[in-house]
Amino acid sequence: MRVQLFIPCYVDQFFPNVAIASLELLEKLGCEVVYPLHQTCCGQPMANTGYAHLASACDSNFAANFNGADYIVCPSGSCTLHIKEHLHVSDTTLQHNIRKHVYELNEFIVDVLGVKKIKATFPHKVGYHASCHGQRGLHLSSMSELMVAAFSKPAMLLQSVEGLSLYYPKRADECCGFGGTFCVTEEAVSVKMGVDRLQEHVANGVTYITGNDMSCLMHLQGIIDRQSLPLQTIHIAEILNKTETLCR
Amino acid sequence: MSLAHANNAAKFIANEERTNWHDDTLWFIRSKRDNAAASLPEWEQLREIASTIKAHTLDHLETYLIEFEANATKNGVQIHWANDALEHNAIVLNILNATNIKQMVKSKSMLTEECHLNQYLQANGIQVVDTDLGERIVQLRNEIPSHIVLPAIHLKKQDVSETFHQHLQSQKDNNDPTYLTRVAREHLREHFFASKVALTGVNFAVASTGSIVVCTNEGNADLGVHTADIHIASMGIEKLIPKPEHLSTFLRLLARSATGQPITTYSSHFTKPQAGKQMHVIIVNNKRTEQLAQDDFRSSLKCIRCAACFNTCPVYRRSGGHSYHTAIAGPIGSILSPNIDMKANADLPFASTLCGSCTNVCPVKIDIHNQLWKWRQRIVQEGYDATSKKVAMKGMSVVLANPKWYRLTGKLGRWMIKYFPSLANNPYLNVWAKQRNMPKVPDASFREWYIKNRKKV
Amino acid sequence: MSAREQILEAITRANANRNRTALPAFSYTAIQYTDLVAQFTEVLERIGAAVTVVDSLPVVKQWLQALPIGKASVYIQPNLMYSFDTAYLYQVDVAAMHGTIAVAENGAIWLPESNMGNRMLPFSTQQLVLIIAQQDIVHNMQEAYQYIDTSAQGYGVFIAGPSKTADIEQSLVIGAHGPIAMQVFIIKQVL
Repeated sequence: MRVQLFIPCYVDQFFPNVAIASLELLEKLGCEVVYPLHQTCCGQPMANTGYAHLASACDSNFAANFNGADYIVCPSGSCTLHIKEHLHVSDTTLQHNIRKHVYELNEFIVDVLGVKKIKATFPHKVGYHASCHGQRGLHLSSMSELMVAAFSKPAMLLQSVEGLSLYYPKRADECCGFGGTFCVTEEAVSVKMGVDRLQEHVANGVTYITGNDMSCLMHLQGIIDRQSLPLQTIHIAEILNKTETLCR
Repeated sequence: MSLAHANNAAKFIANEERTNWHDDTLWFIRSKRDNAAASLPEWEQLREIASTIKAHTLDHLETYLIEFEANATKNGVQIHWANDALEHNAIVLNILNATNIKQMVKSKSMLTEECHLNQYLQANGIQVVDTDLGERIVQLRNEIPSHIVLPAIHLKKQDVSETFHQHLQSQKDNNDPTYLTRVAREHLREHFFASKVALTGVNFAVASTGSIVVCTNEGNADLGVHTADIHIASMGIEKLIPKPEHLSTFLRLLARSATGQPITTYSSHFTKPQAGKQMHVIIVNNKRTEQLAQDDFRSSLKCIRCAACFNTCPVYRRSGGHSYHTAIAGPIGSILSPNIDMKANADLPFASTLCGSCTNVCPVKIDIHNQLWKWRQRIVQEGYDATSKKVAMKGMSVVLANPKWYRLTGKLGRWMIKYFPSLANNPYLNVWAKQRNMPKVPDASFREWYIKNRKKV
Repeated sequence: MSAREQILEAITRANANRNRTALPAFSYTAIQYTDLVAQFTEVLERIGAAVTVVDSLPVVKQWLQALPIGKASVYIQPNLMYSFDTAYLYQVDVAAMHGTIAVAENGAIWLPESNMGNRMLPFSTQQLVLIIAQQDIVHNMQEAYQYIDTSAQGYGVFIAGPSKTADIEQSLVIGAHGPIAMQVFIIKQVL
C-alpha cells in the first residue's frame, strides 16, 4: 500500500519527531511511504481567520504535491478535516480524489489498514486529549454531547499498548483553547481553557498527555513549560511507534 | 475588526475565582442536559425531527404566517406586523396609549431585548416591570441579561441581596435564596395585580390553530396576563410551527436542552382572549428575512432559544454573556447578530475555537460552528477586519503558496527563536509568550531530516 | 407597502426556487414506562409536588374540608361557569381543580380553561391541588397531544409542579410567582 505523507507545516518546522514517528509507524504497518517534498501548509490558518479566499495558491501547491490516487495520511485531525472540507482547485476531479483519500493517522490505521492493536510498549500513565476537529469533524471517537454508543479509534489503539494506563479528564472532550489564531486574538480565554484542561490531567496524576493534534499539544506544552507542571505532551504517533519492528 | 469580545473577556477572566465559579455553574447545567437527554432513548431522533419540522416551516413560512394570522384573527386576536424594532416598539406604545395606561408588566422576551423596548417605553413615559425573577434583578441593577434563559447567572446571591436591600428594602446581608425569592414574590405580586397590560414573548406559534405557547417555570407570564385586561405577545417570524402535535416534539426537547428539566412548570397555550379582554400578537421581522435569504445562514432561524449552546461553549463559560455586547450572547448570538449589525458584531464569530460542541447540543441541529466559519469569510470580505490582519494574511498566503519561501521563513523563524529567545519570548512583541513558552527549536525540519535520511536520490 | 406586505414579499423572495423540505414522519417509538403511576409520581415529587393516590373523589373533598379554618379554599367543578370577585381570588389559599390528561414522562397535567373557574386562579392561589384519574395518565407528550385538543378552548396549560426558580445562584426555590405548593390526587376509580 502506497501512502503519501502529509505533514502539517508547524510539525515540519517544530515537531519533526512526530513526522518521523508517523513515517516509521506506517512503514512498520507495511506501507510504502513517500513524502512529497514541496508541500507547505494546508491553508487552515488563513481560512479559519476568514481569508479562505486567499488560499487558492496554497491549495494549488497542495494539489501539485498529492496525486489523489494514493492514500494521503496526516498526523493531524484539523489539517485533515480542512483539506476534506475546504480544498478548492480548478481540477475538480483531482479535488474530489484528494478529499476522498485524505486520512488522519489513527483513522487510516483502524479503518483502512484494519489494525486494532499495536504491539508497542509505553509503561506510563497517559492522559487522553480529544482534539476537537478530529473528534467532532472526522468522528475519530464518539462525542459526549451525542446520545450514541461510545467508541474511540485513538483510545482503542492506545489501550492496546503494553503497560499504558489511559486516563480521561473529567470533562472528557472539552476544547483545549488553541483554536488557530484564536490562541493569540483571544489570548486570555485561550490560556484559561488550556490551564483548566491541564488541571484535570494533573489531578489524574498522569505523566503524559497525548492526542492526535500537535497544535493542541503545542499550546498545552507552552503552558506546562511556563508553569513547570509535572507532566509533558507527546503525540500519539510517538507512543504507537514505541516498537521494534512489526507492529500488528 | 473590533476587539470588543476579546477585551471584555480578558477583563472577565482577570477575576479567576469568579470565572471558575461561572464556568462550573454553567458546565453543571450542561451535564444536567446530558442526563436528561440520556433518559430518552429516542433523543437523537427527536432532534432530527425537530430540525426537519423547523426547516419545513421556514421553507413555507409565508404560507404558515398567513394561516396563523387568519386563525388567530378568527379567535378574536388582533395581529400586528412590524418590519423592524422601531415599528414593533411603536405598536406596543400605541396599544398602551389607546387605553391611557402608563404601566406594564413584561415576562421574558429576548425579542423585546433585541428591540430595546424597555428604554423606548421608558422614554415615552411608560413604566415597564420585568417579572421574571432573573430579569427583574438585572433590571433593578440597570444591566442587560447575560444569558437568555438564566438572565442573572453572572450574579452571586450577595449581589442579589445588595440589590434587593437597595431597591426593595429587604434585610441587609440576608443572602438566603428562598428569602430573597419571597421578597420578590410579594413585590411583584403588587405589580401583577396593579397592571392592566401584560407583555409576553412567544415560544411557539401554531399556524393551524392561531395559538401561541409560552413556557415558564415561575408562573409570571400567566399571572401577568390573567390579571391584566390587555395581553400583548411579541414574536419573531421564525417562531411558527405547523400543528399542535408538533408541540410534543419541541416541548420534549426545550426544557431538557435548556436546564435538564423534562418540561417547564408551565406550558401555556393561549388561543382566545378572555371574554371582555384584548389579546394582541405582534409579528416582527427585524432583518430575519435577510437571514432567511442567505443559504449559508437561514437555518439559524430554527433556533428555539434554549441556550444549550451557551452552556456547552467553553468560551462563553469563561467570558460571560456581557462580553458579547448583544441581546443574545453565546454561539447562536454570534451567528444571528452579524446579520442585524455586521459592523458592531464583527468580532463575535471570532470569539470561538470552532470546537463544534454547540452544534452537537443544539436540539434543532443548527450547524452553528460551520456558520461561525462562514460569517468569518463574509466579515472579512465586507472589509470589517483590521488592516494589520489583512496585511499579515496576504503575506502568509504568498509565503505558503511558494515552497522555497515557506522553507526560508520556517528556517528564519527557528533561527530567531533559537538565537534571540528573549525577543521570541517577549510578551509585548509576541502575544503567545504572555502566558506560554515558545516550543523548543529542533535542529532540523522534518523535510531536512527526510532528505538526509530517507530520500532516494 | 405595509409592513405585512413587505415581510411576506421578502419571505416569498427568500423561499423562491428552493427545494422545499417536507414534513417528517413521526416514525419512532416514544418512551414507554412499565409503571405509569410510579414514573409520574417520581418525577412530580422530584420537582416539589406532593402526590397521593386515593380511592375516590369524596376522599379529596374530605381532605379539602379538613384544611385548617384560616385557609380559604375552593373546589372547582369541571365545566361549570364561575364568577369570581378579583379581591376574592387574591385571597384564595387552596384551589382544587381537575386535570384531564397526565403525562408520566414529565409529571405534567393538562388543565383546560373550563376546569379552572377563572384563568387567574391556578396561578394566584398559594397552593394548587390538581385531581386526575389514574386511567388518564399517558406515557409521553406524543400521546398527550393525541388525546387533547389544546386549542378547543381559549386557554389551557400543562402544569408540572409548583412554580419555581433557580435564578438566584442556581439555588432551586420552590414557589416563585405562581403557587408555592402543589398537591396532586390520583383517583383510582373512574370518576
